[in-house]
Amino acid sequence: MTVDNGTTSPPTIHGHATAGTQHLIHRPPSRAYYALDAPSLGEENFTLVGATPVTHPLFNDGPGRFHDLQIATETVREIGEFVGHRYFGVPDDRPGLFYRFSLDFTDLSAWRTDPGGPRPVPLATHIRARPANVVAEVPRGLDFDLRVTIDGRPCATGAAGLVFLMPKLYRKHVEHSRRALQAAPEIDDAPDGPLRPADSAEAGRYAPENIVISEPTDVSRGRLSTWLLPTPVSPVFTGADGQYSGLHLLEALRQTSLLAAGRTHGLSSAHSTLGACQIHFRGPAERELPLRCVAVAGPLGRDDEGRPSVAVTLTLTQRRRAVAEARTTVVQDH
Amino acid sequence: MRFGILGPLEVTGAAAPTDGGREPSYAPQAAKLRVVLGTLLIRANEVVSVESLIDELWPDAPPRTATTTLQVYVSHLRKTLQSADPDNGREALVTRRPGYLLRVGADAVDALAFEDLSRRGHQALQASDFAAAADLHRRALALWRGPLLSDTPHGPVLEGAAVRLAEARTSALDERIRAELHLGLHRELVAELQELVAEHRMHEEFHTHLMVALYRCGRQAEALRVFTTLRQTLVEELGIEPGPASTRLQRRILEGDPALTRAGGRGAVRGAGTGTTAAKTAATAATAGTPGGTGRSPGHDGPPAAAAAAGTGAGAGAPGWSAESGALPAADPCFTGRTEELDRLERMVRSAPAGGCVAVTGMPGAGKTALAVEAAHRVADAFPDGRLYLDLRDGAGTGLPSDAGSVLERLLPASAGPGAAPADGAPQAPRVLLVLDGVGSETQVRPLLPALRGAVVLLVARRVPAGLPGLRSVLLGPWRPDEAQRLVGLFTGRAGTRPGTLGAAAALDAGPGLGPDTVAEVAELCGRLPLAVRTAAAQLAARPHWTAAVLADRLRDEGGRLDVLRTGDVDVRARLLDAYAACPEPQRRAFRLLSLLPPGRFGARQAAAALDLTEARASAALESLADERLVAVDRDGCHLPELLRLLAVERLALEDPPEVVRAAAERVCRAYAAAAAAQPGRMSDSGARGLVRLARTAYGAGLWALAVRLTDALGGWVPDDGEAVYALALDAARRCADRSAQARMRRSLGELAWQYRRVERAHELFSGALELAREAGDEEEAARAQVGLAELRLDAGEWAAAAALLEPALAALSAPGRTRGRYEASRARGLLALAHEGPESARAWFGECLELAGALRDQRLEVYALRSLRALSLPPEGGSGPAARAVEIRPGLWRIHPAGVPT
Repeated sequence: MTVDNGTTSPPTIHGHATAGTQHLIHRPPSRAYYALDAPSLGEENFTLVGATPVTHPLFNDGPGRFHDLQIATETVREIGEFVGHRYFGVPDDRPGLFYRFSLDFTDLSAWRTDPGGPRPVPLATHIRARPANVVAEVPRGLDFDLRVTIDGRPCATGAAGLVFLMPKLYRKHVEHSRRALQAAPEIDDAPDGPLRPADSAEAGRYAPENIVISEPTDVSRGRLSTWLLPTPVSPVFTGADGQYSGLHLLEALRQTSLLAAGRTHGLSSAHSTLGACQIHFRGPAERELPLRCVAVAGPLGRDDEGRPSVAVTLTLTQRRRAVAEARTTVVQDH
Repeated sequence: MRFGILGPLEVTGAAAPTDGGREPSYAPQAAKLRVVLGTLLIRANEVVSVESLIDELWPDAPPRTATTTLQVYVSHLRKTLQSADPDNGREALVTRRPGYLLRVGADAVDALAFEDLSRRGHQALQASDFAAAADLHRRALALWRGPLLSDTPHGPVLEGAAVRLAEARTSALDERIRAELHLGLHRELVAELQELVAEHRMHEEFHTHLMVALYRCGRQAEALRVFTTLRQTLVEELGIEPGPASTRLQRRILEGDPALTRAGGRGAVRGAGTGTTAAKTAATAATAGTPGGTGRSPGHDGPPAAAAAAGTGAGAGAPGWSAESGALPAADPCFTGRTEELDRLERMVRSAPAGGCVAVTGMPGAGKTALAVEAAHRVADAFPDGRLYLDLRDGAGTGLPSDAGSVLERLLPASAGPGAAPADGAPQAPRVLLVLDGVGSETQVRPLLPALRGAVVLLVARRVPAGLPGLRSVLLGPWRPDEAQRLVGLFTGRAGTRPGTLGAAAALDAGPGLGPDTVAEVAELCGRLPLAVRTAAAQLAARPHWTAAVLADRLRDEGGRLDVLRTGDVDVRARLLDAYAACPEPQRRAFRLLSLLPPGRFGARQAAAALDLTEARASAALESLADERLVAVDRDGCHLPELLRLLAVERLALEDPPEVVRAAAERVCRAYAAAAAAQPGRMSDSGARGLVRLARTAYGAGLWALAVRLTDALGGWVPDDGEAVYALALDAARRCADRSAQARMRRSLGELAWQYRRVERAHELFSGALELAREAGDEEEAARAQVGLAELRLDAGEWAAAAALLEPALAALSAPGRTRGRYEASRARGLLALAHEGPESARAWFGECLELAGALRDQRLEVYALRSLRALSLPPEGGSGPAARAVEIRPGLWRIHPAGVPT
């Protein structure tokens, strides 16, 4: 089976500043697959094809020397849940939450943008999905392996883990988390004063509304601490249920990584990009509560091609509770 | 008084031990005194000249007063010795021209005791008394506390002695390990041997011992890695290759020689190829009768009676019938899978009457011998007088010895021989199992049967030996796909079906990228042929710089696959060639021509096309090839086992003239194109892949029109390399100036480009297709190109332009015989209706799609239409997630519009 519903749901009117139309191609192992109108219990393969964005309010903001790593993470983040519902028989009322994500650039040069100006370049992500923790023939999660190609050049590999939450359980989880945060004033953790956005040049963006972290505090010996800015930021970061969106958190990790690598080892954010990231999400983050991001930059190293690179370990905490842990690698191109 | 020189100098006397339990040491503190005493001890009970002692004391330049000084030293030593032994110490050191002599008992110096024990150990090993040999050598080695006189400066005498004793120690160690390997202590030896090879990086014998020990522990991959390391060390440091013994052992491990697994087997000793000259001689002498040095030295597995029979030396000197012949090789610890075949064979052997025959047959490399040996071990309880094993392959060239029957009579216990049948003729239970390996024909076996009235004969042969009364057989094919899933252990050296030898541990130890999926792919590429899979595993083990992915990648290349499946002396191609060469030429020719058929199953009709025969004669040819195990036959048809198919491709290119090959290829392509055209849209995936391959063959042979026909027969099916397939067909269409075909191929390429969102390219291809179709007057194809262009307009939100293209296309495709085109036009119209007109209008168009799909009998299209109709009956998706933005525009192809960004 491919779908049970939603096959021909009316298309939404195009957003005027988005990543563009994509095709998701299901690659069944054989044509006999179509004879079975039943959810898959095994591995399924897909290819998500589209083009790199040229007018995206976030991904095309900044020095623009590289395609934004988040175009890969974001599209897969969206498609993961869809694949679970359409191909693995996960009920539509179970939302999918990514709890881990990793991406490693295998060919940095493919991520460089055209010096002549932004133009759409074919972007394809090959996705292998496998059910995890199957209960009564319905998977509670999916594991993804990813291979990204830009303009036909393989340039990144990755993996992701998605969990589908039972609606009641999910609500309970959010409520519990919310109560736990509010019921513990002794672990309060808040900025000392009003937050000032970080320098946009250091964070690798130009538009002020895209700066999602504050000017760092507690800067010492490779360690720095920033706060996420809940407002005023671009609408692309809007999350649901009063929580920070995944894109908001990812962008904060990206900006903090660039800033930490720049302040600690002098890497130029204009010439740098994330060459790798591994993120583990631990729980939801409330927009109403302060969210701290602590980054520790490792020693200055070199990648295989001799480029300066810095590993950064990041932790997002809210009232001292871990929201996400990440490890990124910032690479400065030649 | 005792002296210890195997380590720091020790002199102990008759005095009582100290409070700590240690005997007081009288070893002189002064280095010069230790030199003199050490030299005298090394040459105990011999006169050591003053000159020698002076040279030992002052190797470079003796002082002017050397002689006098030496006398002083001797005097001091006498006092020391007296302290140690007040009664006899002083007298032990005697002045005798031209020097001095130290009198000591044989057991008073540890070096003397060591040499005595190791000599006796060596003799025990020669006498095959392995327990005694191991014990004596162990005791000898226990005397060592360190390098000879490690606290004493060495002059020429002590230096020479140190080298000699160190070598003796190494030999003793070697022989002790050899003896313990005989005693089956391989597991206990692995750790020690690992340490020894690390210490003696260029000592081949320790390496070969470790290889044997690991192999016997079922860790064949590690055993091969040891060889690789040794080879690397020798090449890098000395520029030489390992010796013949090490190389031979590696080959035997690669071959999975069952004889090597048997502790106590002489083959194992020889396989280790180790030992001092004397020990090597003993081992060689013990294996002198093994056939042809193949490493298939049989072990002995029978009870005492059978052992006595086997050990009589009957037939000594006849190839394959040595004194040791008759013993069953040990079970292979790496034996994997074959559960069903093993059960069936076991039942057959157990139920066979005395004098009955059971055969294991199958293609080369299928693991027939391993299965027979495994079964023979399983049925041990049913054959109280033992199980014997004979390999007839060595006699294959010259035939069996003329007195084979009488040899066998002497070899078999009385209970199995010709006199076994009771006088009254009443049936008797068989008491002996005889495994005859490498049976070439029934003529080899028939003369032996009279001597086997009390035995069951288990034959191992490629083809069923005809004419043997009551013969039952098991045909062994490749591993089954589910067995191939469990072969990770073969690649980690932990294979086997016995409890504890295969399982999660193997998977845990797998190298990077060596998961069940990769192993299953490698197994498939090897045609699941056990010999080939094991060779692939050995390749991986022998090349630490290869990953499993590299191996799989190399195997994917059909042209080089048989080259990859060769390591050491194991050559899969050569084994397959043996079977090929054994056939008469007509069968060989038929085998070669069948390689022109696409991989997978075929029937007499397809074979007839390849062979240019009638179907009846082609059937007969297939049967004959099946008998030779060059073609596999089952209820669903015939197929060339994958590696044999590759061999046939090679032989065809080498042996047949190009015009013959081209003519045969044309016949095959025509036959397949005709068959596909007779059943449009009913092609299986494997069938479609076959057509793709044949289209390439036709293109390569310059058969342009056929290349187009075969591509057309795909009916829109797109393989992974679809673009290349259709591009080739487009070129073929150009070459045969078929404009209509060019339009079809361009349209197919356009659909592929569209699928991958190369919109400009798709537009260019659809436009070109439209132009060509119009030039050719092909109304249907022109309409289908218009549908393609309409979909591009639709994607851009240009509803009116899309409608303008679809309207004439729908009209043109309404004519009879254009159902497929009509389906696509209706689908596109349905999508337009959905976007522009509303669900009700769309429902009508998808309803038409359902009808048309039914008429086409295309389940894929039918299911898509049904899904679309179901979706239209559901309320629209809420939210802004992909579900609300996704439309399945073709089966399995989703268009996902971008999310609108809130502003």
